[in-house]
Amino acid sequence: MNQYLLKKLEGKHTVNSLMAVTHLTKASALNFIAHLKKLRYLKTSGGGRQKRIYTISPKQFTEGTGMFTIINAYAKNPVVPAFQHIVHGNYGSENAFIDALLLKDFRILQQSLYILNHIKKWKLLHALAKKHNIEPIVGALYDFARIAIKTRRMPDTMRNSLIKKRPKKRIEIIPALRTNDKEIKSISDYWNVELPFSINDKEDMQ
Amino acid sequence: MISKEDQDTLLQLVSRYIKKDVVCYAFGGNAMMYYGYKNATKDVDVIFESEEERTIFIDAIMHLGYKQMSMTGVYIEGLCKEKHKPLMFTRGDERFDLFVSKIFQTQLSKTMKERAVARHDYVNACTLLVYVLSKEDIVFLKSITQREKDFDDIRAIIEKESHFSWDIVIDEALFQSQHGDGWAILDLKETMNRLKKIIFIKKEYFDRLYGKK
Repeated sequence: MNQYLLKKLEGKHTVNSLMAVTHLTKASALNFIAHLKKLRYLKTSGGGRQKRIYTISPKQFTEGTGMFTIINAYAKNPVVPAFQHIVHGNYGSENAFIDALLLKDFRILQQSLYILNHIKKWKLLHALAKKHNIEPIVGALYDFARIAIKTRRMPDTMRNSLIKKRPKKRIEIIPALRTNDKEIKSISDYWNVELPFSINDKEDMQ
Repeated sequence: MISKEDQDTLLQLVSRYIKKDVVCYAFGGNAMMYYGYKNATKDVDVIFESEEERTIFIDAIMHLGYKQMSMTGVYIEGLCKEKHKPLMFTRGDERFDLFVSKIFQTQLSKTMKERAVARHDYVNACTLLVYVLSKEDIVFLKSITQREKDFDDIRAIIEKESHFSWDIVIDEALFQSQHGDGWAILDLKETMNRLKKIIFIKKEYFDRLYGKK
């Protein structure tokens, strides 16, 4: 692809603006858009009631599913990705939830809790929690999610197994962040895991 | 040459043969492909945080038929004597350059890791995590490896990128020079002087590099 042309067209366009810049007819402009899209130099947004916007870049766009795509599919308030995350291979809600926990970012953690309403493979979630040694954290977050939002029910066998892994020493999920709510504190005390959510965070999620 | 699609297929295959989860950082032509700066590359440059991870990775690529090769003819003679030189593996015309913790004298700093812009997970029984370093770090690291096509790659990045922070590159060079890399500033200075003939670089950046500011 001609880099000079891409550099010249870089940015956001509508069909009309593209027609004006390239001096093409509408049909040719649409063909050109399809060609750029095929080569991954163009991304489409909008459509429907909104005007269709085409973003053109001299760099090829990367496509794929990742943690942020899954979180934002279920989140109440979508998060801005801290980095681009692309997965090659099998990756589901369970993996995204665990990866979100490991990032230790408050907003990502909060929005990832909505995934708990879409978990199908509890066994996989348990295995991943075990692998990363975060079983009590998963248990505590699940209990918090149960009082804040709608979630699926965790199998009793998994819950019992998580309970057995409660630590002796208090774990902080996000350093220096503590709750100010009695109900959340009781969950924190039960699991010996410091939950970072305040009463306002709980209300925001509902 | 290896294309982006081939690289993904290859690394997906590598993830099948690794015996433990491995984390590595891409910074060469392969990182440029993740960005979309180029469509194909000859060498896959990655750096690992530990020797153990590199060994696991090497076992996997040897399983796929890669053989170790000499550095001579690829890197300049002085770099071949460095303590932290890469182990190189090849099969056909593609090549892996595998570093551990340091790229010659330059360390994989904490800020470089924090600046990583993308993470590609190749998931199988074990996971291969490839972090892609920022464009500024790629330019900086390419300026110290001094291979035949590195300057062309730097030029391609700068020409395609509308937002490029020379401050980050210079901060990193100064940090590396304070932490044992005696060549970081000199190599970067040489690259910037060559680039100055093609693109506009403000004098203040040279001043910062010379320690005038």
